[in-house]
Amino acid sequence: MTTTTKALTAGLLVTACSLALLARSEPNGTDWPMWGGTADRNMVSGMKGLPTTWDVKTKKNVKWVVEVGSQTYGNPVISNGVVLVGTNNEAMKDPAVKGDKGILMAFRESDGQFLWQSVHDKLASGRANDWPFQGVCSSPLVENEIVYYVSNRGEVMAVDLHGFRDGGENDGPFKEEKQTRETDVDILWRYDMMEELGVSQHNMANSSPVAFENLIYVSTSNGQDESHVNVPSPKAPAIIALDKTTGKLVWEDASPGENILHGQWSSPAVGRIGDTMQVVIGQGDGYVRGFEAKTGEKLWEFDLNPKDSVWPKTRNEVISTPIILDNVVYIANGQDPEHGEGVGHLYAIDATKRGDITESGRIWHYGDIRRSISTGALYNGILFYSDFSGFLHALDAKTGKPFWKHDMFAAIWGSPMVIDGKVYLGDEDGDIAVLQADRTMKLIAENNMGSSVYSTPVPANGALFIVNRNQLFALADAGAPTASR
Amino acid sequence: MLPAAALLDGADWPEWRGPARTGVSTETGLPDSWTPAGENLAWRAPYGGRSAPVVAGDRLYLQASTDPGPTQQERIMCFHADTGKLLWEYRYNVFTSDVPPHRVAWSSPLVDTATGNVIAISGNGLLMTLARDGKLLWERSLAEEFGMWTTHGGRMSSPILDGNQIVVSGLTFSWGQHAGGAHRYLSFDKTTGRTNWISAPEGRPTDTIYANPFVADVNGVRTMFSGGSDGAMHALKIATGQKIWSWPVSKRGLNTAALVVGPDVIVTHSEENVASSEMGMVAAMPADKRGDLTDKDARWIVRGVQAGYGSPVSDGERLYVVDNGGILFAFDVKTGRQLWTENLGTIQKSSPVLADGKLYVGTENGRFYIIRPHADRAEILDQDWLGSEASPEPIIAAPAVARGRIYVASMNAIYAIGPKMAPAGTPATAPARSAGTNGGAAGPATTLLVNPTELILKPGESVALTARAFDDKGQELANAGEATWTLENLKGTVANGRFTADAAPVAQAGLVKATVGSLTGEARIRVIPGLPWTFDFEDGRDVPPPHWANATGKFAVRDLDGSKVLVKLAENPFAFAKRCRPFFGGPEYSDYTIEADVRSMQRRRQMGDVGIVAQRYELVLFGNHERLELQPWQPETSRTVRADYKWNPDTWYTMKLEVQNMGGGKVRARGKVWPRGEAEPAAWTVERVDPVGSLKGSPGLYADAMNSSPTGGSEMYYDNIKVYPNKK
Repeated sequence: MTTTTKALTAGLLVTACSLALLARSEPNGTDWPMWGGTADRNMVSGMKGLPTTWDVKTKKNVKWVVEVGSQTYGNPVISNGVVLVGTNNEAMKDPAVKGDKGILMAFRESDGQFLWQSVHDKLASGRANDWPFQGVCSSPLVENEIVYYVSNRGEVMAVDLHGFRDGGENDGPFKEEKQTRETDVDILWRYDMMEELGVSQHNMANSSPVAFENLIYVSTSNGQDESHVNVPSPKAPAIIALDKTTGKLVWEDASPGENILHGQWSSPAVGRIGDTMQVVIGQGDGYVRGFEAKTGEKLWEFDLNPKDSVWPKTRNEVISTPIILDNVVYIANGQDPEHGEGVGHLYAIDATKRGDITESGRIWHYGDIRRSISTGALYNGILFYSDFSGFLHALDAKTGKPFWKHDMFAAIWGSPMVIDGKVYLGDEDGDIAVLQADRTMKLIAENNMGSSVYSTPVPANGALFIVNRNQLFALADAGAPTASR
Repeated sequence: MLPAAALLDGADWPEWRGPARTGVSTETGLPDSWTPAGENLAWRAPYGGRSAPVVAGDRLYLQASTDPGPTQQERIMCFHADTGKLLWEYRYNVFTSDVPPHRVAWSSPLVDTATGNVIAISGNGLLMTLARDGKLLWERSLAEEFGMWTTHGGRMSSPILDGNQIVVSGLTFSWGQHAGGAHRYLSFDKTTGRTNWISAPEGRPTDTIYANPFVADVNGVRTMFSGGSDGAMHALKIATGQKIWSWPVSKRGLNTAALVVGPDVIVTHSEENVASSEMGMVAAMPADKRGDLTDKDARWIVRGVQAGYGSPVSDGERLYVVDNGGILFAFDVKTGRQLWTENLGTIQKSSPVLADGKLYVGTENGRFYIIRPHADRAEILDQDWLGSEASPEPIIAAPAVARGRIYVASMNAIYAIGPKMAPAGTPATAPARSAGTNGGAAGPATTLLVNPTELILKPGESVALTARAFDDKGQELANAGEATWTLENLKGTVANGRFTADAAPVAQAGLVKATVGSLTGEARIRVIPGLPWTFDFEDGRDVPPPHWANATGKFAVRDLDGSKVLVKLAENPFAFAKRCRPFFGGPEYSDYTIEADVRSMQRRRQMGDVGIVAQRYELVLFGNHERLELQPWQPETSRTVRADYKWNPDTWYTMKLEVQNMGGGKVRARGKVWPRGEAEPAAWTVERVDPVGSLKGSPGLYADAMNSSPTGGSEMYYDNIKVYPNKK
């Protein structure tokens, strides 16, 4: 970034925030700068004119498609004309970079042109901390043309959205980039959670960052070691807040301690609850917790499992990201897909309460859901929530009473996304179902992406972005003029 | 006991996927439908797991866990195949392993139909042969003797029996030339349990795996095919373990079995391909290739089908594969052309079987299908939830077909689908693997083995060794010829194959070599005196004692504060085998005490875990937890005894662990720790009387260095190790 663009983006930041706030009513010129679109993580957009049908074979309504790695668990985010996605190195965008790596790739939004990539070596400690070929799993946050994400090495990264394409300037305090070509990453700062905090993430550090004012929040993914019994680093924090500008630690919390059941793969959400800005996150002991955003003071905790449940049969971890709406937190529990299917629990939690609010904060419980790793979408009083057994549930958000349930007949890793009154949802068979976001079930269309979809369809600026295992698609209605920025 | 003839009567399914491991049965008149509620259900027994049932005569065997809790064990179970009545079970402990309680009993047993003996390998690498009545005939502890690493995943390949040898495989860190980590294949004599050969044909392991082997005659060469931990399919001469060919197909380890159909071997996987960003593969490779193969050698390759857990099955025309997401694919086996698909569920681990023109397939979702495959489609004849739709029983094990029934084990129960009475005169079930001889006159010798190998002797003890010669096809020559015998790194005498170890009470590790003409073979032998032992590392070597298993390369001897000490190196080249347990000798030791001085360093808020091992009990000082733990089976935490213990980095402590057999299967283990140089406290800090005690086991160490990093992980130090019989 140049000083000029910094000044400009300071202005843009305000604009971007306003746009985000307006997202649901004035949608079409809107970026999708983070997991969930906004800090409350609610998977809803009012964007109009997106296609409901397409064909990846005939390229009907396919604006462009690009190769990413062989496994892509990161969800795309779109900001200032750049699409970012975490993946692995199997696409070999840089012939000089060989072997298994974690990669954050940046593409031009207009035509899918590859711009630059951030390359992370795999950890020497191997799959206990950094599972082979899973790449960068974090969905970035873009603010002020700075990209924040967590690498497969457990580093919180702040990098320049435009890499070295902004006149080759090496922005930020970090100057140790080995290469400064147009296709390389320009790192602003880097915070190594293993090095600084003694974190031992289980299998993968995946957190999708979220920000409030000058702080950025991530889960550390601290967890068990490969024995699946021992938490090797019980005093390491589960959630941290870093200064957005300097990358310095501001607060940390290690509430789950030794009680982490497995890993910690939920990402934080931020919202105003009552008169308090809270960071809310699912944690490795099966609890969801709320923290005062500025200080990290723990405000409340809620056990998402019945007291008589037993890990791993009936007690679950939390992989879903909480969503925050009108002082209420909605979140389901579940388990690592490797563990298969099982019972799940979905709750609406009154987050204005304090202390252990497992009883006092429970607005409703829905037990007909199976294990879930999805994040919810609340639209028009209906909560859409999918589970790993392949069901999409539509519930009355006030009461938790089900309206309907739809069987996708394949495992669901991603999340339902409501766009312009329609639910988009992908599954492991590669199908994207499009359903009416209504109290009665209506399947509008089903489109196959050619290979498994582990991510969530994302709307931005009149296009729909979907990654399957190894390709990133930009879909747009060929008959309608694409909204221009 | 029934007479031997009765054992062979009727339809046997004595191994995982049947007598030829093809997943095919020739039985007819098998059920088209059934219900778990009782229709066409001979019996249900409430025992299950990942282990596939096998059937020989009227007996059904599988491995399973016992109930969870502080007496949980693994077991081999024997049922009456017609009634489901439990006839016997043989229980054994899981120890010095990362295998957690819910992942034990992964592999499947097999029955030697010639003797009725049952052969099985446990989740932590205990290879066992039981008589038909459940009595243990022999066992080998592969963890203690070969440094076999068994992981959190529980993955364990099932043994295979061919001729007179049993072959198993796993990641081992042994001693001498075998100290480096490799996925090794180990051959044992089925009668004596003695080791025939050890082979390491694979490249660097990327994973621990549970691919089961497949054996076939290929142009007169008895060939074992096995998916490798290095992501290659390997073809080995089963007589000697030598590699015939390897074909790298994946960047991750393989977990499916090969299947020979006509001239080709079918290879499947679900991970990264070697040269494609599309995951998964189904392919056919001509079985009679030689050397290092590439994709160009294949008959056909289909990419993008992720079939990484369930193994394929074929009727000779069509190939059936269920991918990891529960989709059943049919291919033309000669061309790889996809014919049709059918969606069975969302998660698949089990392998289908083909019998009576029908596919019997269970899914991890808990649905069991009977499917009639046609040229253009799958006709679902029957589908049932095991358990209930709300609370299904996942199916991971492959079904068995025998005695007119389909035997299915879910994670919760065994179902015998079919008539209550076994049909009389049921024909032999499936095309059995041919016997273990190749036929034809043997050619010139190309390989020399010295048997048995991998022995542990006492000083002065002697053993008769035999040189065995094999031709290029793996056929054994009647007479190996006159051998010249020599010793390498061993003191003692050798003449005419009889080796006598030097009588001095000194540990040794080396080779007895036989040379016939230009061929040389060797037996790996360790000589280990009886207790007491001391290790102070002051003998001038900069490496750990050469007779220790799982130590060389992971430990070094260095000077620290003026004394030579044993160092557990912070960097671990095999990250997925991070936790390290070196063993000082064989598993036969009991009623002894181990003492050691230990110390750890702190890096990045992290301090390593350090401990000592006696008779399969571990006493461990945890760094980050500041705790002393006594662990009979580390991941089964309900039997662990804990005591908080504040200890400091860069400071020496003395640990002491005493293990005593109490009779009646009970064992008392007790441990203490104190700052080195201070008076030993009188009281024991942690003590447990284990009702399901481990009655013997090798002395050893425990080390777990915290994450390595560019700035270095934490090292651990050991000194003044003493092992001695318990003081009265």
